[in-house]
Amino acid sequence: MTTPVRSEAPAHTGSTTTRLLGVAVIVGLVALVLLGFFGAPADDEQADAVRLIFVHVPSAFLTYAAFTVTAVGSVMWLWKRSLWWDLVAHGSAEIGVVFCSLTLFTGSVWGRPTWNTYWDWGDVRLVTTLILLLLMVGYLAVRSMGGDDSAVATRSAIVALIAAVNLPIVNRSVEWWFDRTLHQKSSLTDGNLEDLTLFTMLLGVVVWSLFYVWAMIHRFRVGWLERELRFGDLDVAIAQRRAEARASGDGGGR
Amino acid sequence: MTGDLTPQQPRPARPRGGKVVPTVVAIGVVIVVVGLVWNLASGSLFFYNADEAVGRRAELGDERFTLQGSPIGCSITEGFRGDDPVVAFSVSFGGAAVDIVHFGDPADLFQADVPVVLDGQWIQGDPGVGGRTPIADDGWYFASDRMRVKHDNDYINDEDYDQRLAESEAASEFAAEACSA
Amino acid sequence: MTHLGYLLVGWGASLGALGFYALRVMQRGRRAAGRVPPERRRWLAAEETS
Repeated sequence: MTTPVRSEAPAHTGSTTTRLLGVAVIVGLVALVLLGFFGAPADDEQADAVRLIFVHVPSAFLTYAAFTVTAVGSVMWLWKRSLWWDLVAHGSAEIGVVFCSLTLFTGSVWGRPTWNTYWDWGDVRLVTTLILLLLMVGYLAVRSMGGDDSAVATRSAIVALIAAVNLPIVNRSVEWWFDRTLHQKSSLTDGNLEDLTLFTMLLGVVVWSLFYVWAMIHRFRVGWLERELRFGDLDVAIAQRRAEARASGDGGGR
Repeated sequence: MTGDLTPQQPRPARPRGGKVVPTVVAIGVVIVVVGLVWNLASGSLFFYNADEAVGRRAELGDERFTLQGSPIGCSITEGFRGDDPVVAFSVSFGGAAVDIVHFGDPADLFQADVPVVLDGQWIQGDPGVGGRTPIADDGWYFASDRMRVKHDNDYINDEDYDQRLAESEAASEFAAEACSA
Repeated sequence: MTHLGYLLVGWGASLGALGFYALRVMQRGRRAAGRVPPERRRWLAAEETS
């Protein structure tokens, strides 16, 4: 199938879809800030510190989602050798690292006024989440180590699948090791929340999800373009080599 | 793209010049992850609930460990030992009570019925804190120097919170009996 | 409002990190798109024909 190409393709990764998503994210963020700070009620025990739930839980939810997409993309690369899925896996891992870092940071900030500590090295939920982040940072490091694109995709897919084993462990840790964590059980599935608190938290999940889709589209296109650039550089290198070969008279036309 | 059967170029090799930093990062990640898993496996935060701590008192001896329980409202007494702030209270879990003396300021959310996780050790004798009302009163106390609060996943705003808390306390059979004794 | 410092740090870091990442990924896109010939930016063509 030959794909017609627009004669004046813009020099960016935006499109109508991303612009609409971007507007939706900004509108959603404004609503989230207003509801998060002024709409949702304070908590009886935590007072206003509970308002950190509106950024912490969406970040955690999107961490799981993004790394799950990376795992699926990695399986699809190993199975089908699909470049599309490899780009999806890479982009989702990068965005997932942002969300996972935010999960740890906002959780730590929330922990100080509520648990009375920013961090506990023996806490199974906190440490398994940190391990997940480090494994995905390792995934990105493996991706940037260099070498043949196909080998890089295969190596990093294996790292992603090793990291994915940790996903259910992180998620279920508060159930499996309730005596080894300060972390409460899931607010989304087991929590007892005021209606407006729940609504605002779910709005946060929706806004964060829209941001993820927006970022994935851009990041996919960046990955595609950077791959095209590497191929372009290769074309130039091959042309130069052929020119050199012709100049030295050995034919070089293979 | 699916119909394009022309021979493809070999996939390009990425430049090798920037390989050192990612390799160091990857090796560092492996080392740190192994260390973290090792630390978790050692169970450094593993805590005994109040009933388990009482049951294992002889076995634990003067070993430091972590204890969890719910503070009993009527037992909470804040004061000083010398110039140092002290909180004396009792916690309950599983039908057993432990008398606590916490050296230092209590956590911000420290209050009756919200479980606390404490680092410390068993000590036999009188802590010398005046005005305390020990519920267990068995000649032992848990000397704590680190307090964390293990709140639950209820996020409720209740206008009648104080009344609800009082009702909750009254409903807690152990606390009610302990406080009335 | 209680705990305002913690709230500002937590929310500020979240919105700041997402905003920073958004700008970064767009900047990378512009830089890469400027170097790739238009006929090889195939997702644009796909969107035009869909």
